[in-house]
Amino acid sequence: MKDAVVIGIGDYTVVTDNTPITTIGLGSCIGIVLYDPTTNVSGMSHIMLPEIGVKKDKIGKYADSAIPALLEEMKKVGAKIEKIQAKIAGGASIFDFTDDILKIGDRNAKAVRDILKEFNIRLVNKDIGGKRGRTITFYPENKELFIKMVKKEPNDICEKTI
Amino acid sequence: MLEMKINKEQKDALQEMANIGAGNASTALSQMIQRKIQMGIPKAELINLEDVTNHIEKEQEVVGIFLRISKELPSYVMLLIPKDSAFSIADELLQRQHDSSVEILSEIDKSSLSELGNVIMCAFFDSLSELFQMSLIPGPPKIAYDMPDAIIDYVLIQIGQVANQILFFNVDLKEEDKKNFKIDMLLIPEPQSIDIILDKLGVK
Repeated sequence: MKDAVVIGIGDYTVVTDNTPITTIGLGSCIGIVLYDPTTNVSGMSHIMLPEIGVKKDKIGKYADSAIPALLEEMKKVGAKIEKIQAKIAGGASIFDFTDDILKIGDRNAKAVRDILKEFNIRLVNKDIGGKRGRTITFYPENKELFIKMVKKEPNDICEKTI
Repeated sequence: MLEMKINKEQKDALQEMANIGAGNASTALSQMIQRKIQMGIPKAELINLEDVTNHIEKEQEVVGIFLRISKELPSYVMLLIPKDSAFSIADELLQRQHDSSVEILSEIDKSSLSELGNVIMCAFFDSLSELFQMSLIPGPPKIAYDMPDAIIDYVLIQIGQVANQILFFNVDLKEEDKKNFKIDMLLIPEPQSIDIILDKLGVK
C-alpha cells in the first residue's frame, strides 16, 4: 500500500486513488472525511474552529469554509457532489475546563454537523467528543476510518474503525 | 490575520531570552528533585500552524502541563513529558520504587507532576518578569495525558483565531546522570505579545 498523505492542522487534501490520508493528534479539532463511493475521490480536512465568518483567512482552518472548499476540490477531480458521504472524528476536551466557552470541541462538532446537513451530505459515522485525542487514517480502498487513541484508564479501548 | 516576521537579530535576542528563562527553570527543577539537569540549546522559530506537527517530538504519549499569562504578556508555557519520563519523575517526587507493571498515571502522580510543572514554569516566568520589569502572573496549571499533537492543539486553536503562525520556543531539560527523564519546554507567546517582547529586548 502507498504511504499515507499526512495533513497538518488547518489543512485539507484530496486523493483520487487508494492512497490513505491521515492526520495526527486531533484534540478539539475535527477531522472530516468526505468520499464519493462511485468515483473513488476522497478528501480529508483538519479544522480548528467553527466559523470563518467574513474574515480573510486560511480556509482550511474553519468548518464553514473548509467543507465547501473540500467539496469544490473533489468536484474538480470528478466527484459527484450528490453521492458524497462523510465520516468525522475529533472534538474532544483534552483539558478540563469548567468554562463552557472553552469547550471548543463541542462547538466544532456542532458546526461540522450543521454544515454537512446544509450541503445534504450523509454523515455515515462519527466518533466525537470525549476526553481523548485521536489520530485518524482514512483508507479509500474500503472507506474505513481507523482511529487511534491513548490509554488513559485501564479499560480504555485504544483503536477502532468506523 | 497578523503576519509575523522575525529577522536574524531578533531571533538571536529571543533565543537569548529563552536561554535565561530556561536556565532559571532548569535550576528550579534541579533543586526540586535534587538531580543535575542538562539543558539543551533553546530554539526560537516562527512556524506555520500546519507545520507545527513536524516540530514536536513524535512520542506516542506525553504528559502536557501548561500555564497561561493573561494580562501583560499573553503567552503559554507548556511542558511535554514523555510517558516513561513522567513515571520516573513521579517516582522521584513521591520517593517510591519504580513499578513497571503500572501503565496508568494515578491522580497523585498527576498532581505531583502538575506541581512540579508549576514550579518550573513559574521560575521561567520569574526570570522574564525580571528581564522585562513586568509583573507576569500565571494562571493555575492545567494537565493532561495524551498524544503531543492533541495536547498542543488547545494552544494552537487559541492562537489560530488571530494568526496563522506561531512563535515557538523549545528547549530540552534532561536528567544528567542516569538520563532517566527528559522534559520538552515550550513557550508560545500570543501574537500581540511578540511586539512587546521584541520591544523589551530592544530589537523591535
